[in-house]
Amino acid sequence: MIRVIGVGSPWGDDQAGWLAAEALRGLFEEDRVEVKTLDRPGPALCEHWQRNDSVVLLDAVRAHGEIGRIHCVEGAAIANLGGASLSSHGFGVAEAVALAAALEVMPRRLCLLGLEVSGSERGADMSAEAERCVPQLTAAARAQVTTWLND
Amino acid sequence: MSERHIEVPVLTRVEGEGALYVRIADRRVAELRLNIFEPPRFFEKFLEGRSWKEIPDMVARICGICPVAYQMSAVHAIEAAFGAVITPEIRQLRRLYYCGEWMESHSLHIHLLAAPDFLGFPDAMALAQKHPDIVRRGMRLQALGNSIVSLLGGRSVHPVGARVGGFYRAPAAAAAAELLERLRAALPDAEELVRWTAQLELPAVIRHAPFISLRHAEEYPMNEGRIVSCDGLSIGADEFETYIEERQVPHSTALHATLDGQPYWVGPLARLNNNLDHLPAASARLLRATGMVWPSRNPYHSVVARALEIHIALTEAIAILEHYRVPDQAYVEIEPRAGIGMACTEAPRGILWQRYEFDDAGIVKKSRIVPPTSQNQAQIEADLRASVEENMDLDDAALRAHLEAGIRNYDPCISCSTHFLNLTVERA
Repeated sequence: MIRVIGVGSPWGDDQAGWLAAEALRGLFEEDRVEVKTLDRPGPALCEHWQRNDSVVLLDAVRAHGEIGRIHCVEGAAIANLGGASLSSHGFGVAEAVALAAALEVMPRRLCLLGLEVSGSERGADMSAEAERCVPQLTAAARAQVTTWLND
Repeated sequence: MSERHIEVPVLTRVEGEGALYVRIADRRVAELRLNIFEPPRFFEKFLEGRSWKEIPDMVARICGICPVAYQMSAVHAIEAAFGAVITPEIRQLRRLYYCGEWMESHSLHIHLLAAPDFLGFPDAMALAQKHPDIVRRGMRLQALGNSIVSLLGGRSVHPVGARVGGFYRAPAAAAAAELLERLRAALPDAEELVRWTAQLELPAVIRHAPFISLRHAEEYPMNEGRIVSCDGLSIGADEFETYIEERQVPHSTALHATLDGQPYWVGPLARLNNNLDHLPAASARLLRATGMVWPSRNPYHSVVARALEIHIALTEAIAILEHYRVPDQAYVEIEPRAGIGMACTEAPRGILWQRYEFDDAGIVKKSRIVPPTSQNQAQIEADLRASVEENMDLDDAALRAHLEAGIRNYDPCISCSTHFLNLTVERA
């Protein structure tokens, strides 16, 4: 099974992962590609995949680089991104992947596509800059899923 | 005069954002502030003007860890205001729902937040590398709690299945039966967890604040009971405001609550101490077998209390599901009316009190929510003051780590209480 998981929160640019995932709904056969969105799942992230799965994680990231840049990080290397993900109180995607790796519950293939944003203020709308870049995140996820489907 | 300043600028492994600042002068605590700077969210204010029907879904958004507690205190308070009476079957489903949240929240705290402190690891990831079986056990129990919440709430985070009067729909018999088998299979995990927490090397300290919890005539309290203290207080939810005072302190966006002007203590240790005679028989046997003396005034015994409450919740959930039949009605019809309703239930972190005032159409005129973390805040500060003075000879780094672990031991949910943490210690 291929799973696309949009991770985020209702605040500001942290919605990017959700919006990109939602845009993929209906584009693939549901019995081959599952699309879901999660609100700051923390350590429970690994409950959303099986070890035989291929998983694309979509999330907003902060990397002090170019806003709108899409970062692609694969497998256990995602664990090295601690603090970059905006998606939780101290237990973000990087920590969840580190935990999954330590517990040997990593999926067969795992890819984080992170859209670089400037910040995430509670109560704020998404910035126009980030909103403009969401289609690129969707396109990158679609390309990754298509590649895996054709493997 | 010699002075030390100790600061934890951002507390980790707690829910939400806060800090600790301590100034020590002549080996005494001159100043200690648990700074809670997570922005206030004004939930109580924006509930005003909303329909009674919207409240359970709105308050579920206050916390990602304990949404059930917010929903349950809300529905009981609203039903009290409207004079609604639920069925025994709905009451049992609500208790099952709460069992799920206790299991999920306590498992998360014990294994991913607190255990690294007790076993000398910086975080759960490092703990998982060395002791994967321990963390796997916690994840299994947490997932099981999430499954219970999902069964009734539709999903485990910000569930949407609860409504005033009951649930939008009752679980299907097949789903309940499947979950029952998973719960039965988890009993050895829960039993081993209690034994494991009881053998942890925990700091030996005594604190003397009153324990406050619910107490029910016949059962371990979750949704119902009187608010009692170990010192003889016994009040109904509608008397809460008469006895408990909340006040603003300059260094916190969470209010501090006091009883007779003094800090008090809510949560699993308070609950267990006040309800030792209402444990399920298997849980009572398990607790006796630890050889520990109860009631306990050592805050670090909270980890054992949490583990035992996982066993209690699992045992109760099994008992409820063994007798489950799909009820004729998943909810009772509600007729709104003008009035005031108050209710208190036992969130994983302690008593959670809510009050709603409605107009004739059931629109919220006023609301008030008092979460457990704000009730524990004054007691956490009192405990930290004692901890600093007991550990004055530690260097700054060691003292900082000890205090941070002490805060985490209370499992504060800053996100809930703001209306919380970084640590600074100054020594002179």
